[in-house]
Formats: sequence, structure tokens, C-alpha cells
Amino acid sequence: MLVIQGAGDQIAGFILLECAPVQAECVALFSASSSENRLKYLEGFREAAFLASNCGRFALEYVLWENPAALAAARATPIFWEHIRIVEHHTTVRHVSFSSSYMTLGAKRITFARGERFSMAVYRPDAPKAWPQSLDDLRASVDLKHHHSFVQMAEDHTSIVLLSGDGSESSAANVAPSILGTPDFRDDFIVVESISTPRGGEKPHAAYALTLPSAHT
Amino acid sequence: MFSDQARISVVNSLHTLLIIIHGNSTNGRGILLLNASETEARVKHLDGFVSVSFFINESHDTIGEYVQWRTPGHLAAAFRRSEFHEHLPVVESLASAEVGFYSVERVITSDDDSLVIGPSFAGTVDLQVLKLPSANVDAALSRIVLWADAMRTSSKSLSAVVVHVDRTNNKAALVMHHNAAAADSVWYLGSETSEIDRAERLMRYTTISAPGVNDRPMRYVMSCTATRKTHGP
Repeated sequence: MLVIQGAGDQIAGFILLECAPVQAECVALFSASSSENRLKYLEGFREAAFLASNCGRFALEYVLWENPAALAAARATPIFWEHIRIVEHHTTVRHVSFSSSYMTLGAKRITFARGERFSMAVYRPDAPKAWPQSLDDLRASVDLKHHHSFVQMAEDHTSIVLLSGDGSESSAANVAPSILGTPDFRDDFIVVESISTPRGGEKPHAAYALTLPSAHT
Repeated sequence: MFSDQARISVVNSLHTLLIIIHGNSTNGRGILLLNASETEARVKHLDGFVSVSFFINESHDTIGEYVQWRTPGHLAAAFRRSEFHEHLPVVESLASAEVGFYSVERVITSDDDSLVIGPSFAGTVDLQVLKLPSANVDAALSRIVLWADAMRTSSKSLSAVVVHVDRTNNKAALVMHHNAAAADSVWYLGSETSEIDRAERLMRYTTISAPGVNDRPMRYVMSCTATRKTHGP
């Protein structure tokens, strides 16, 4: 199970997908299966969580890679793209950000256990600030005793993702607009599955290839 | 979204499959996710599909699937579709399975003649498959039902026992539903029956039921690339 606390020394990615009605859980499960059976065996994969919005319209993937080089190497393998091509054929990509600028806010660890609920918001500040400044502003505004959140800033500083593990009514995402402005996207999600790095000696098992039907290739 | 419920009842006469998959602790979770994903993305959209409840044990080497189709004809028609069978060779290359086709003989609960699995991420069951004596299947079933009734009444954790029968192959399948994950397993022992398979203490992973009106399947092709198992030296 994916658990995060503190600052990052890896590369974290958020992929927000808009799906057909009620297809979010399906997309999340499909990606989770591909990650469990194949992707997690790629060098440098660390962890991933797959979430679906309560409304069924949005799927959210949160992935951790060891470093940018590992992610680049993974992207060069065909297995990395097989399920992504299918997912992207069925969805619209609403937001993608990979970055090493991320941190948890609040005392609690963020645990992506199945069934955990999160509020997720994407901000695109009018006047982007550097990562340390944005983090200081958020720390000053969020009541860290009562909220536990995860914040990530895109490498180019143009967007910030805030994932709050509290109930949506009291979440840090409700506090953040005073600092970050109105969110570009906001919804409530539930964790469908969480994938960890293979245990020692564990080798890939499921041998299959995924392709789009010939009419779509 | 998250329509994860299944109703088990004698009255609705569904065609029920009980599948116990034995893999190993390193690939069990992958098989579970593969089957659940394939069901959610494609299989549930086939005509006549009702539900599948997926279960897995703590060590991840045993998976249970409780499958409901409207009729045997619907299942047979689904089996001919690529969306149904493309993932099966992948699973067969990793694990062995005991598959049984049943009807629901009795649902033994405290207050109803039906049982609802889900919704939520919880649920604990024991699955047991038994060979019945061909000479007198009904008598053996009656003894199982009496046992199940007594067990459910005396047990604090047993919320329901569902007795299934396959009269063609003289098999019975028992699904013991517990309301506490820490409860001891309960197994039927009878001098006239032998045990074919057993899946100890399974936790429900999810239940996938028939799609709503706006739900659409995903379209893709899955090709097994596993080397076929060979026999001999």
C-alpha cells in the first residue's frame, strides 16, 4: 500500500483523466492491473495509486518513480505504453504533472488504502511562485493539526495539485483558494487500488500484450 | 459507479459458477486484478451477465470468484466472445482452478431467504466444494442443510451459509459468510461426502455487477504471450 510522508526525493506524477460516464472505476482498475502485472517490474518504479471520482467521470493516477532517468527509461519500453494507448483512447487527459517538488502537509502520513477518500484540486496560479515560497504560503494558511494533505508543484511552476485526505467539507482544498486562487479542477475521489514495488526476487508473471482493435490503430 | 452488490437467492434461479483459483503468493494479486479488470472493462457488458464477487486469501495464493449469469445459454454465448476468453490463457499459464456450475439450493440466514454481498470493501467467506454420493444426492444435501442451519444458529460470526448444488456432477458448494474477519473457519465434514477443494478465509476484493445504461465497455485486444506449458521431461 502506498504511504507517503514528508518531502520527496523521487519523481511524483499526477495524471487526471476525464472518462465516459461512470467509467472511472473501470479505467482505474485497468491501469492498476497493468501496473501490478507488468509496470511495477520496470526498473525505478516505486509506487502508484489509482483513484476514481465519486461521480464516475474522472480517474486519477498518482505514480512515484525513483528519478527522472528511471521514468525516461521506462517510457522507452513498449510495455509502458501498451495500456496507456488504450486508456488514452477511451479518455481525455485533463492534467499531467511529473515533478520532484512535492510534500505532505500536516502531521499524518497519507495512506492510499483501498476505499480511502481524497479531495483533489488542481490550481493554476495567475502569478506562479517558486516551490519554496508556495510551500511556505500553504503551510501558513493550512491548519496542519487538522488537515493532512499532499501538495505537488509542476516543474515549470504553472500548476499545483493538492490532494487532501480529509472529508471534502473540511479539507485543505477548501483553505487553499485564499493562497492559490480558484481551482481549475476539483472533485472527490476514492482509492480503487494501490500498487507497490515488487518484493525481493519477485519476477513478472502475466505475459500478455494489449493493443487497440485494428480499426483504431 | 461502485455498483458493487450481488443478491444471492433461491428464487431468482441464476446460473452460478464458483471458481477457486490456486496460484502462488507472488502472482495471486496480479491474477485477481487481471480478472477483476477484465470483468469491469469488458465481460460485464456481455448479455446475461449478472455479477462477479472476487475474494482473495491473506497470503494471496488463493482466489475465489462467485459468478452469476442469467442462464447457462448466456454464459455459453459469452464464452464464444473474445472479450470473455482473451484473458483466460494468461490466467491458465499462472494458476490452476476448480470451476463448478451450480444452482442455489438454500440460503440460510437469520431473517431472509436471500443474501446481499456488498456494498463496501468488506466481506469474509469460506468456500468448500464437496463430492456428493451419486446414490442419494438429496439425502446428502438435506444433511448439509441441517448442519448449516445448526452452525449458523450456534455461531456468533456466521451470518449466512449458501448451499449450492450441481446435480449433473454430484457436487455441492458451500459458501460460509462471516461477519467478522477474525472468526474461525467453519467446514462441513460428512462420512458420505469427500472434499474436492477448499479456499480458506477469503476477504472480498470487490463485486462487479451488470452495467447501468450509460456504462460502455472498453475496446482492446489482449493476446497471451506466455509459453505454453509442455509435459514430459
